[in-house]
Amino acid sequence: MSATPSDQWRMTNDQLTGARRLWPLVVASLAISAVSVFADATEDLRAAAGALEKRDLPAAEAAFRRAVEDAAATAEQQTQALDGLTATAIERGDAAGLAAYLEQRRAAAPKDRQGALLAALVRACKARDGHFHGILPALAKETDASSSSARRLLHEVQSACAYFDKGVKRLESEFALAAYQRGREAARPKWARDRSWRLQGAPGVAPPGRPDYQAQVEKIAPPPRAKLRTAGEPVRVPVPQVARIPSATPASVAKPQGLPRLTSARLAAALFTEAYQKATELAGQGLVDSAKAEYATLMQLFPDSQQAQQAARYALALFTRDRALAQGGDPLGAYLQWVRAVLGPKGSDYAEHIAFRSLADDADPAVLAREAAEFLKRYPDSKWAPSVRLQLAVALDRTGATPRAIEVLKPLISPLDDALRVRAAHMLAWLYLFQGEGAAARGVLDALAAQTVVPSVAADARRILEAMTATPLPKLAIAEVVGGGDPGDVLAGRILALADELLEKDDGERAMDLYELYLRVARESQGFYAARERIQRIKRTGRADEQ
Amino acid sequence: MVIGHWSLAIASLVIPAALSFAAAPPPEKAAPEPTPAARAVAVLEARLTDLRKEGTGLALRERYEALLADAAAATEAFAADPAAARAHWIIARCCEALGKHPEKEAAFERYIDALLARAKDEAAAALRSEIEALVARRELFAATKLLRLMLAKFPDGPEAAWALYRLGACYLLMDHFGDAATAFAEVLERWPDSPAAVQARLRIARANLAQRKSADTTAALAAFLAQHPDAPQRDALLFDLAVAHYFARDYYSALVAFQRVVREAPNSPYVPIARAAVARLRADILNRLSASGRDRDHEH
Repeated sequence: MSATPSDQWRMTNDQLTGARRLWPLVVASLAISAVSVFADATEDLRAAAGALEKRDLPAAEAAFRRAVEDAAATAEQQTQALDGLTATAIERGDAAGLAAYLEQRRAAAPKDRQGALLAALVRACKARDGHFHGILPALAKETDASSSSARRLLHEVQSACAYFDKGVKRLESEFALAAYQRGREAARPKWARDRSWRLQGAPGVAPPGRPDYQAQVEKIAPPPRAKLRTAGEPVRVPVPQVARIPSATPASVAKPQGLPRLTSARLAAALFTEAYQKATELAGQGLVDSAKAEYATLMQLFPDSQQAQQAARYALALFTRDRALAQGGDPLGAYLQWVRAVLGPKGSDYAEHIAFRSLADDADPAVLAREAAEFLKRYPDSKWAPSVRLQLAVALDRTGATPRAIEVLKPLISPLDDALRVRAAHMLAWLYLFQGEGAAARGVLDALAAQTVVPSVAADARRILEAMTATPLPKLAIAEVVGGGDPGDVLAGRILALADELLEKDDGERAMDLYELYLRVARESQGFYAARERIQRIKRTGRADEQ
Repeated sequence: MVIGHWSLAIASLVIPAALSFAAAPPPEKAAPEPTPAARAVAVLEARLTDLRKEGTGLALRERYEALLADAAAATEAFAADPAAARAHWIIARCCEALGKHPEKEAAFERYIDALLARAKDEAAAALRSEIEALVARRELFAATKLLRLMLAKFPDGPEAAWALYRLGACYLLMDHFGDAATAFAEVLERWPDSPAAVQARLRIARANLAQRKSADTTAALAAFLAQHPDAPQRDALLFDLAVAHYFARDYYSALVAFQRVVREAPNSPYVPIARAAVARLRADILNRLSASGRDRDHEH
């Protein structure tokens, strides 16, 4: 009688924890198989047993492979050969080679052998990777192909994942308890821990026990009653069973629900829940890189799933958290580098574009420009390419490359048939205005005023055109670009400096004007609070010093 | 002919003598003898000076009270003498040291009335000096009362313009922005060409900014700058105009005004600020346009 692949897998899975434990089982099973009528496979298995006894692992492996490849071998012999092959490979530390070999065999094997080979492959992958995640896509694929054995295996793998997690948690709690008890023991005074001071009983004499003064009640059981039938008691006659008349409407019979069909989406969802829990725990312990790795595994296994997108968002949050902890850095570049390494050359425009959405505001303009250009190169047809293009234009402008920013925006503005193109045109008009190119700005503003996609922008364009008519734009571009720093901080700093200068020159009233302006334009920061306190002191006392 | 020679000789003798007589210094006049009132006030003032050097502690309270009584007696004794005006000032100072503020204000008003009887300029100067001292000590409520007194005593002219402007400035320090704007607007309306009006124009921008009424500032400043190309503090006014446009969210006009600061007053201390403001304006606009798209993406 041959075991099913899942049974075999379950049987040997526990043994994978230590390959040495597998030896007696393998040898015993080989001895039994020696009496088989199939000479070739039997010979191979016998040879393998002999080689194992001599600890000749390469010879044993070769013999097992021959048995596996023997088309005439029974299912039981195949299973034994695969067990032996697995044990040998693990002992030799060549689980990766075994996995590759089994993949190769699966491609050539008939359908009735696929179950056993898949079970062996699961074990090999577990031995190779230390976890089941690597085999999950293959299992999901097999599940989609309606393979019953694969479905069972998949179920087993999922159960095993949960089982391992529970086991790890139980071990953790046991260790924690043991540590706690050791700590308590160490905290007790020595006289309480050391029992040697107690009087030892005489040899052969047991220490006196506690006297027991409790009354012992003796229970007396009453004699059994004799079963007597009185004369007046009627004889019990069984009531005849009457057949029930079936009702007009037959009672609906609830069909027991089967197990939900395991699809790739379900698997991804289950895996995401697990990855999220693990990542949260790891991040809580400060192991942010490990937490990111959890999400990376999911994104690699199911790159096109919604869960992968969710994982990317959570991983991005970890990068953002890193930035907050590190007080700076380059989270945009770091995240994009990570996500490109995780997803490989194919990549994911979604996973990359969310970084631009979340981290662009605080990114260094040069980095932002570089990464946005790279995004457009990698995903020219992405639906997020236009919005990234806008960010590229902003970044280029902030680095002083306004003509290039204008060139980046130009392809987006005709025709003005959607909101994003209108926004691009609006941005382009402002870039022309800042460059002092009134005629070009007027051309774009005319087009914006005529469009009906975004009425508020059309109204704004009309207002600017009216203002341009009243006050023409001077041909002057103020070519000061603040660069990586926040322009608001630079502005606030210069206002404060001039106000201090005026205060020193005894023009306190004008200084107060500028101080008030500073309080309106400055962002709240440590420097801001100090300046605000000083300004309030000047306003209150007329003096900048504290005396 | 002989007569002609005689006349020349006499002239040559008489004219130099007359010239030398004219060039000679006038004979020294003896200083007028101080009146008894002036002498009494001088003594009182010397006592006050000594007392103020020692401070205003509780231990000196009796001496201040004594000085106050003597000064009051002097004002009664020499009521008709203009020199006794200073005695009212001594009473005011003593009341101030003793914490008797209503009495101090009354005494100071009597002092100003006495000065006005003598010379308006002296009264105005005394009021200005007292008000500046109060503002420097940030006794703003007392300063506004005195400013209103000044406006009552000097309802028109440069003193009134100054008093009204200073009243507005006190209201600004007290965060009474509406009252401040009203005071400055009155200065601009009644004395548009006075030195106080230049300052009032700058301060009204601040008052309007605090009240979020930047549009009022832009209209007034734009009209004034158009009419007065050589107005004093033009760079500061241009800068305030640009800032008002910025806070009124008229970004195009703000850009043009900041550019005017850079172009029309290249050596002004406001130019570096104008440059930074253009950079900030640019970043604000572009980030806003970029961010609104990101929000829309996020909604999708």
